[in-house]
Amino acid sequence: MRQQRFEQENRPLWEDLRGWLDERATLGMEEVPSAYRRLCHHLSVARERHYSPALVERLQQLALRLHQRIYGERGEGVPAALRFLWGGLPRQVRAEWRLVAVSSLLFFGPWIAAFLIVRAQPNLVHLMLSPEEAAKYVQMYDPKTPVAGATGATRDVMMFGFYILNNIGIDFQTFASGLLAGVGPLFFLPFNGLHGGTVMAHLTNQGLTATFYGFISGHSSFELMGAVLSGAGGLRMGFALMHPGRRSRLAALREGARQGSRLLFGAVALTFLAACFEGFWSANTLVPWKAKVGVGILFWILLSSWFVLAGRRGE
Amino acid sequence: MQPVDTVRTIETPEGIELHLRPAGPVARFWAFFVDQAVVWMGLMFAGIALAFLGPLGLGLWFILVFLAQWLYPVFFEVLGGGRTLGKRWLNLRVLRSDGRPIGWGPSLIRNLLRVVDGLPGAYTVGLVSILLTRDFQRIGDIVAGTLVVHEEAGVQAPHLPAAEPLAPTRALTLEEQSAILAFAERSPGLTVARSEELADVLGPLTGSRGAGGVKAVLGMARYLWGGR
Repeated sequence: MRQQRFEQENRPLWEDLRGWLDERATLGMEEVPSAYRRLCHHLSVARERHYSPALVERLQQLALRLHQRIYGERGEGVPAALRFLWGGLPRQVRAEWRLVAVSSLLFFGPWIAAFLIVRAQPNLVHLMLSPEEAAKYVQMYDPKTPVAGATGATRDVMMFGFYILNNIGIDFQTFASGLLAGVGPLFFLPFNGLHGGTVMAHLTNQGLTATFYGFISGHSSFELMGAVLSGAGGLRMGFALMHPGRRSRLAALREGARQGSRLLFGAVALTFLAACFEGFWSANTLVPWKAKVGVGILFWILLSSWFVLAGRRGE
Repeated sequence: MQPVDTVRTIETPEGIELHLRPAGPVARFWAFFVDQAVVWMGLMFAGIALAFLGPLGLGLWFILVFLAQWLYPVFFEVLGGGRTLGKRWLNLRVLRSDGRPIGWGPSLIRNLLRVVDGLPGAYTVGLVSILLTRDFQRIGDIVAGTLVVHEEAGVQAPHLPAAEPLAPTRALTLEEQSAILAFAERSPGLTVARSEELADVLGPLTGSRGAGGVKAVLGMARYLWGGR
């Protein structure tokens, strides 16, 4: 068949398909698949018969656009994301409990060790913190320190923004550097743990219990578990690269990144929640500090029971 | 025989092959540059405007910096059909390596792994990876399973210049027929001198040179396209 006749006979079909792509549907929904298959056939025929390159190119572009439209996934959307956070994340954490445990150990182990050591030997604080840093922390939690410049709600928003930028940024960095055979989390988690434990012990030594524990307890569960989960997500990637199992290294890495990014998504949600509490609740001075510590402990209990219990139906 | 080319071929479930043209480091650098310029200009102006709000504005600005730094490409790639502003400017598009549109998961992975591609500074790892991989993928692309491709400009319906159909004097292979049609389709965009030069290559077939040769080749194209 000559190209001219081929074009003449089939042009209406191509126009219909193009119209469907451009939302000028002349084609019913149920007619699209068969029309698309016929277009695919036309493309093969046009290539096989060496019709002019412009025609082949035009058909192949139409086919590519349709391929993308037909096989593209519909975005999962906000409801699916919330559903994942509610049930899917705890399931994911339980499925990856070994990595989460390793990540917790890497984080809380140095934290506790640093805390105990600095409590026993207060001078050792200078192994981790320079004298200026140590003084800065003390000054930050000194009850007599006036809050510089701003007061009340506007300062809360400022700190909230800062926590988002800084803390979620750290989560992202920890996760991404996990690709380097897990080196990122292996470094960042213990380092941040040591730092946290040292500061905590130092401020306890200085007798700033009320302001410090009052401030950190409310958001501590979300923030620390967020750090642990982002580390676990990064380790997932690094581990897949080092130990691909029966897959090719690349396939294992892709799957590892997919699974790890689910943990990261959870970590980001937790860190975001932590920033909300840290910005708008923790700095609050109206509530007595013991009550705030109580609320913090309650959050730890709620969070752990959620990890253990949620999403079990339909598992 | 396949000519050497950067085209990536994907096979669809319908059994046809579709061609994608992965974009190389230079185009991608410019897209990145445009993105960075837009983002930093935006942050600067937002910063000036928000400065009037004091600490409240500073807090909002921190959030903007966070979004610009980490999530700007993700939102644009997923909601803008695989194109950030810079990619739109340069007619690039991010796709999954099987040709489908990119979703939230892969986009997040490929953009967060800029941390790794950026090591040890100035995107060195990413550049080396782009140069070493067949489809110009940086580490983030490899892990997320994505490609940055050139978006083809929409091809117009082929329009052959009018000419008296002329049967070729000998049997032509399919490739030769295809080449003649390609010449005819491109000839409106060529200068007269260039058309004649190209048609002269076919002198032995057309038996004439110069303007006569062009006319003969266009006639053959007309014949091959539509017969008598």
